[in-house]
Amino acid sequence: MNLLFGGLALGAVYALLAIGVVLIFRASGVVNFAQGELMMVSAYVYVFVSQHFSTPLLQLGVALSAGLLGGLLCYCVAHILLPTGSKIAQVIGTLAILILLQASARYLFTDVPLRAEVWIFGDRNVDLFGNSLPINSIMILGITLISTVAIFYWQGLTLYGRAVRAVAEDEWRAALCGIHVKSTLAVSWAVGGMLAGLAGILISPLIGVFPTMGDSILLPALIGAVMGGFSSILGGLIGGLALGLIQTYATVFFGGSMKEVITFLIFIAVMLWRPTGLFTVQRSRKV
Amino acid sequence: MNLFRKNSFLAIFFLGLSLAVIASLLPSYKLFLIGQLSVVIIVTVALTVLMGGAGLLALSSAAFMAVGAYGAVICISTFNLPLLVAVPLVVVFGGIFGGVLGFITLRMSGFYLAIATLGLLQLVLVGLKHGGTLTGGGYGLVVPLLSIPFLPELTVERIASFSVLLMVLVVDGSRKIMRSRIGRAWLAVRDNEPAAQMQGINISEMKILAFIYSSAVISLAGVLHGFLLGVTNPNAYMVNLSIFHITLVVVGGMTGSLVGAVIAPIILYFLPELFSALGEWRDFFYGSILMLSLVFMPMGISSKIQLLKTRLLSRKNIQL
Amino acid sequence: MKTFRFFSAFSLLSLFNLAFAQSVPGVTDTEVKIGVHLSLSGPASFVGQGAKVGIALAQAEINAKGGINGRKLVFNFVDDRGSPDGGVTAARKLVDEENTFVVLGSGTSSSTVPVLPYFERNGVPYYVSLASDPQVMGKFRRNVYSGATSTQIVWGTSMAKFVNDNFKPKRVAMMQCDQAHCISGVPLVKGMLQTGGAEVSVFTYNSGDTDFTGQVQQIKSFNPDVVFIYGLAADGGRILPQVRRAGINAIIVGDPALGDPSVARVAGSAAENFYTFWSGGTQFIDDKSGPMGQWLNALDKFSIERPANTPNTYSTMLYADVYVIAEAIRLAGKNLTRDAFMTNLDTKINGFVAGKTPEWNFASPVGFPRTFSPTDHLGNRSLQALISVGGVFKPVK
Repeated sequence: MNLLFGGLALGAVYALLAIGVVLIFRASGVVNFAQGELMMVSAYVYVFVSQHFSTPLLQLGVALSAGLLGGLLCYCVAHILLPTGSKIAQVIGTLAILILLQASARYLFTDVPLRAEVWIFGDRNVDLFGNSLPINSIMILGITLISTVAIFYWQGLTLYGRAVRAVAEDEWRAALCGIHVKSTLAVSWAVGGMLAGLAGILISPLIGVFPTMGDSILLPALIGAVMGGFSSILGGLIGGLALGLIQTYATVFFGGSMKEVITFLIFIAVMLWRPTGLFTVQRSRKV
Repeated sequence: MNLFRKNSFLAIFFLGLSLAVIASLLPSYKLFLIGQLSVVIIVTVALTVLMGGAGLLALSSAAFMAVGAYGAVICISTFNLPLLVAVPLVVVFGGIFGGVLGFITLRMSGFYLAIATLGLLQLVLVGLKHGGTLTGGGYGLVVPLLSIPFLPELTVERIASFSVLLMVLVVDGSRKIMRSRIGRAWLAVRDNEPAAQMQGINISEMKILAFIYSSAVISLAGVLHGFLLGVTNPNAYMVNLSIFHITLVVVGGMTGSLVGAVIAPIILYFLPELFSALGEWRDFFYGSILMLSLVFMPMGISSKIQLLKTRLLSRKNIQL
Repeated sequence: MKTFRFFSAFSLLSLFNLAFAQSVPGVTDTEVKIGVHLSLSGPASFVGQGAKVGIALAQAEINAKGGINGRKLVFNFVDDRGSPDGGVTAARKLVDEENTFVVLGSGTSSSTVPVLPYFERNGVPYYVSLASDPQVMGKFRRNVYSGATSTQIVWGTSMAKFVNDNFKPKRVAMMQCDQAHCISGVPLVKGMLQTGGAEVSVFTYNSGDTDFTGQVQQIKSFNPDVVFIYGLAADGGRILPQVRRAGINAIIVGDPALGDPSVARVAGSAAENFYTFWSGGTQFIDDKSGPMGQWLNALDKFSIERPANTPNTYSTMLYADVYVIAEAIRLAGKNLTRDAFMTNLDTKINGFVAGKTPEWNFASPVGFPRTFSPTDHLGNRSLQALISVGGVFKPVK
């Protein structure tokens, strides 16, 4: 049981990053490789804020804002600085942001990890289903599910969400409808950044805060997102959770060193079975 | 214009040989750097053919370099094959391996392909780390003293000079391929797959061919890299290396021309090495240069050069 | 006629001698240039940054006294990025281009082991301070020496003995990462613990992993008396809380790589009563009393630049090793050659600690004594056990 929740909690963090990446990809067609670094920056901000203030809401707010600003920064680079290049150039642009953010963090804080306190409930266990489970894992899972539902609602049911989807589908025609394309795109990036910020708060108590924390979380998150079908938010959630479970159970059955291999083997198997991922948003291809 | 007709293999070989001889006059450490630069250029050219030519985004370059380096050392040390047999064998094996990879990933495109090739890299790395005495596990293998019959001992300096020669040959060879029917077919597949199919081009064949070619060349680069370094080690072939190669290709430009593929490594690899006084600022330096290249040359160096060439040529015409 | 011949021969000889003396790389009448390769960038940068601090202090102290035999110490730092590529490039730069006198290896095993064949072939003295991989000393090389750190074999024996003697465990769970020192160290320690009568189970992970739920649950069902963690400091900081949170109450021991203050800090209360080891001396680095206190004060006295999170354990290790090198240089006098340097290391370094000898009495006597012999280049075999109490490491008697 502990294994299940541990895997789900890990998967939930992957899912948060994955959904953020998917959101941005849906809006802009760019994979934001700096998503992990946005998480890292928010984590550092969270550590410093929680050293001075202990109101949970303030801590959350500041960390989310850090993520938001980070997302906007990436938007500026991708769409204001680099719009004339190919999509791949924009992706490499996010990679450049990754390198610069990581180098800055390493310079300012060095690689020695910082300690982060669990956000609200502390490091306690709670008894559920006859097992003693860490309350933090449950909280992470809960927050992720709530956020996913919120995003769904936003994208599907509100007018603004539909505007975002309109821009994603066809920029020019969306502009004809009176939608301000640039700011809509910016919002998607900002929300993606906020999701990364949320992930930062949730995972930093478990692993500490250090400059390279983004890399190790982003890669599984991306794999999960791809496996779930890269343009679907639900796919991002399921893919992320699945990956967390795969990693945890692979460790138990095959040993920690084989974890990566098993993950990729399963990934390739899924890809061969369904080349466009498990869930796809049906789109016609322009021929 | 008549001078440029001398595109024969002999002319290019002579050019490469002269560059190699000039390089060998450099002091030992600079020559070593030039050797490494040649290796990076070879990889960038091969990857540009794959990505810019055939439009296939692959993160497996580090894996094929590892195949080249480890393969060569294992053939020479463990199986006692002579160098002149081992190297072509490894290159051919790399090509076949690449072909298999191409076959598996036929259905995938874009980002999915990238992740799949990344998976391959991880598999190769795990295989190397747990390969026991064959691969030296986490320590890697030491490159033995290399020799070819009737020639003096192959020092690192000599290998570095030879890399320059190989680099020239690879650049020219790739250029020729891109200009041939195969190259044009690749470009067609990259730009518009359904249209290319309608022209009668066998998409699958072309994709697999692109993988075979680039993987074989990258394996060759891996062999040189291993010889230059004197050791093979799994830590030298990790994801960052593949990502580094991809950034080189993007900065170099993926228009199908290979000019950028030669220039980009000089800017992004050679410069940081020269300015090693940078020390801890190296990452900042690299990230900033990357960002600047993307801002000022978003379609890559190749496109800027093409623009320059067109402008120069058109000017000439006007003056006439 | 005889005098003329004698005189000309003598002058020719002295000219030859002079020319020969000036042709020693890295040595002039006023300077000795020592090359250092270390990780200033990349994931192991805290090792290199810390090492640089220790070297800088030793350099400042020695040069303040006029250097060694009138020659000031000059250090040439080259970043090796902590990777094999970087290590080979850095070593070549130091030897071929910078022409340093000796090379001080302050890199991790990842950047040190690949350059060993290169040094074996060119014979330049290579003093490895930090890399503890068995391959460093596995094969005897005339010009390669190991200073602050020992090898996994020596350490493993000490650590297994400590665990067996102090805890007499029946069941031991070991965590093994994918780094070279883990792969080589764990089987050894496992064997010795088993000889001591324990049942040992090994659980693997990859260094840099962030989630250990799988391994922790397996360890819990194994119900060990002792959990022995092999990995890097960052791993330790992550594994400790996850082990304790799962309700595992066993004694936790870590390998010397985990003997770093950051582990206690990141793990917080989970690090209470955590045992580990370090090879830097009987006092841990944050002890402000005695020789270590003197060392810490010296950093202020000479205004040594200290980036974030330095000085660290590597600072003191490099400090001690620079003095060993300085002693070997001093003993060669005016006629400083690489051969003389190595002969001095082989024959005259016996239990040497700076600050305890009259020539170097201004130095702080930190670190274990180093001893070399012509057939044994492993300078320091000592290991100090530490226990973490209240977030601070204290030596275990």
